[in-house]
Amino acid sequence: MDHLEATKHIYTFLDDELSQKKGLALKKHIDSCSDCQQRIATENKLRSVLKENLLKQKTPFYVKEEIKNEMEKIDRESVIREKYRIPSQLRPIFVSMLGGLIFLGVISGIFFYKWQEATRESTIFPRLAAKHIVFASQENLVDISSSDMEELVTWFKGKVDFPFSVPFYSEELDLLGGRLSELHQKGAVHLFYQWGDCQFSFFTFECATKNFPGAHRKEYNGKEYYIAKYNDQFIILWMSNGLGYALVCDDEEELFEIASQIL
Amino acid sequence: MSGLKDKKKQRKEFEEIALVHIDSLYRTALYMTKDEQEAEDLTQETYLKAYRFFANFEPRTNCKAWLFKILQNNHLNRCRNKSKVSFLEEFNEINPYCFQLIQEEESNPEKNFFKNLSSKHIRRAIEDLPEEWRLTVILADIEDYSYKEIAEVTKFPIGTVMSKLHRGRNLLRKKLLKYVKEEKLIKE
Repeated sequence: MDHLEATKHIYTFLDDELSQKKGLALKKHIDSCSDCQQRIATENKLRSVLKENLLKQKTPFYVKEEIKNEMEKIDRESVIREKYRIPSQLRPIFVSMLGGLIFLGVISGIFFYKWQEATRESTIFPRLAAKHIVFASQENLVDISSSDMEELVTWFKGKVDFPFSVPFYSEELDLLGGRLSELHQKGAVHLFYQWGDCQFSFFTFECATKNFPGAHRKEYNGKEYYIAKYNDQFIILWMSNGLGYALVCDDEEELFEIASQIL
Repeated sequence: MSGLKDKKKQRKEFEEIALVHIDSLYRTALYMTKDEQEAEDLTQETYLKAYRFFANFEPRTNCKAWLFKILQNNHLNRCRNKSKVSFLEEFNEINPYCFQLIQEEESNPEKNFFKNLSSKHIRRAIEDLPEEWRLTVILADIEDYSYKEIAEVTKFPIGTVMSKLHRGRNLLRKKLLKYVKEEKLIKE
């Protein structure tokens, strides 16, 4: 090994990490090279000075104490955790129970939602009842006072967004007139009838839903209809071709008699 | 409570196997962080982490190396949260045989390098080393770790460890020379 090669390996040689072959070759060179011997001596001295100085640095006493205290704290907490930990043989039972509880919770939630849906009252019936009460208790409420079917249809044309026709007419009934009303923020037709002492309201309005919570669903002549009572007013509601129709009256018997003619 | 008794036994075992290395870990933490408070925190964090995972430690393996690995990981995590240590180009241009300069300095009785070398110079030079070189130098020259052990702690291949160690040592010596000379000049 030449001198230049030897100087490259001095660190590794002093670290005792050279291969046996290289180590022997280097040692052979060192034995005969005073420069390398001097370098090694200097390097060894430097290493020893470095070590001596750096090893002086000790850990402050309180660091060790703090670590010991924290370790004790970790142990106390772990003992408490273990005390309340579910034994491994009971874990499957616990997991099953927990799963069962979650399942029950979900099922209860679905039932509660369905029940709420079923018991939630539709807002259309109270409105229909209120509009009829206003008509029955006040005079001059009609927008157009006419018993002529054609005239009424013409008057409503363009005022509501659906093609309107007077659905029934009977000589026994007095058609008093009509009023442009509003249901669910859309234009609706409100017609007024008189039959003896009894006053009727007949509504035609746009209606997309067939869900009327709070009303009784019935079938008659293959048609389904909904009956509800609000503020002592009886209401019959049915759907046809995307439109809703409703009859409102405070006399149940008379209402059904008229309804039976229409339905 | 038997649980607490077992824990006490485990704690005693940990103290005997691991806590005896606290000075080595603190020293390394100090040279890595360059801050006493941070070194204390890093040492404590390392030991508490080691204690929590003491069950994972294989009894016949090197506990000190295991602790250094945890220390290194914790330190890297802390560094990631702060700014990354920059690696300057100048460190790659070190004269690989700079200990010859020390030799020359030492051989001159007027200069007397070792006489003028103080703890302050050594600590400053160590702390000024780039992060990755610093750890290899500390582990090799202070803790007497083999290249294989350093590779385990730093997760570098042995060849990389040798290269980093070689460069780190050269730079350390260069810096020691510089600081000693600077001080001499100031005194003169």
